[in-house]
Amino acid sequence: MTESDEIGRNSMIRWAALSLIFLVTPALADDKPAPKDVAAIEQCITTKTGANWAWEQCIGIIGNKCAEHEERMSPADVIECYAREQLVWDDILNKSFQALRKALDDEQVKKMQQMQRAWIASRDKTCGFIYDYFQGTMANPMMAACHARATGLQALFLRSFADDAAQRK
Amino acid sequence: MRFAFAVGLLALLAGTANAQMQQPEPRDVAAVLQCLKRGDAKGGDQKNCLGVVSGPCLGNDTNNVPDMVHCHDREDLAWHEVLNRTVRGLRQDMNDEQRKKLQLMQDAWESSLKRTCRFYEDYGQGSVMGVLEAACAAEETARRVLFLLFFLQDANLVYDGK
Repeated sequence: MTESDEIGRNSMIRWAALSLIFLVTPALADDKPAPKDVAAIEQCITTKTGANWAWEQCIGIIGNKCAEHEERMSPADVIECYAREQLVWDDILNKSFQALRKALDDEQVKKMQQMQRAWIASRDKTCGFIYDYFQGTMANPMMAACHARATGLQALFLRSFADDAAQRK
Repeated sequence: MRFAFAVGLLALLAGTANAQMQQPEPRDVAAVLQCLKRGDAKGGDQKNCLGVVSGPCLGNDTNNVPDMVHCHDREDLAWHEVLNRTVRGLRQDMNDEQRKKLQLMQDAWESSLKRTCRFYEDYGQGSVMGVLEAACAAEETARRVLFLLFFLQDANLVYDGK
């Protein structure tokens, strides 16, 4: 096997693993976040203010709790826990992005889009690295947790600007 | 308002230039490493290490922009040094393919870091944006260190400067 074959094979395995994360949760993929999950995270965002990454404590409150007994759960169930949380963060991220798009001028919107593209590339490589490093089924739940966490961080980042823009109106 | 923005921008540029040109202060790197080692031993308190340099630096009623940016730049430089050590440690444990992926991942992260933290400047005017941008760089770098430390087989090699 040549080096390029090997890279291609590894790449296919990684994409198969990534696809698995989304295929095992087909119902979630098209769904909106559960209202109780949204409420829990919104409540947390409202409560946790201040320095020292306070908002960041809201990341994981759905997924980590749901996957608390990970050792007794199937990988698919663990992945579903993190996918549940990811739906909430995706929703916050999208709403914040849309709100900012309305509030900012064209040049700022362009910068925001460039930032988001760079972030998506970084997130995908970062979470994909977990598979590159660990390879095997244990990597898949970790990748799902990574995606949820990374999305949560970016959602909170954009949300802080969106909240500020709303207050300035 | 324009003046305040100009002052902020100048401070930011000065801070960025300093961050690029300066080496981290050994005592700052030591403070970060000691904190990480303590946090690791206690099991998961390493997040509290963010601010171990800028916290005391900002604590002296610092309220002018260049000083505040300087405090965050010091923190950023220290965490960057720890990041470099962590990446070096990781590379030792990896095969060629993993090293290539690690490099690609870090390049993507650097690009995202720059655009993300620069967004403060893109978003708003005022000198506070320069401070927030500098704080953002330090925070994101610290967060990256914590992520990569997870993959190290023996993090003590980084903590102990080996």
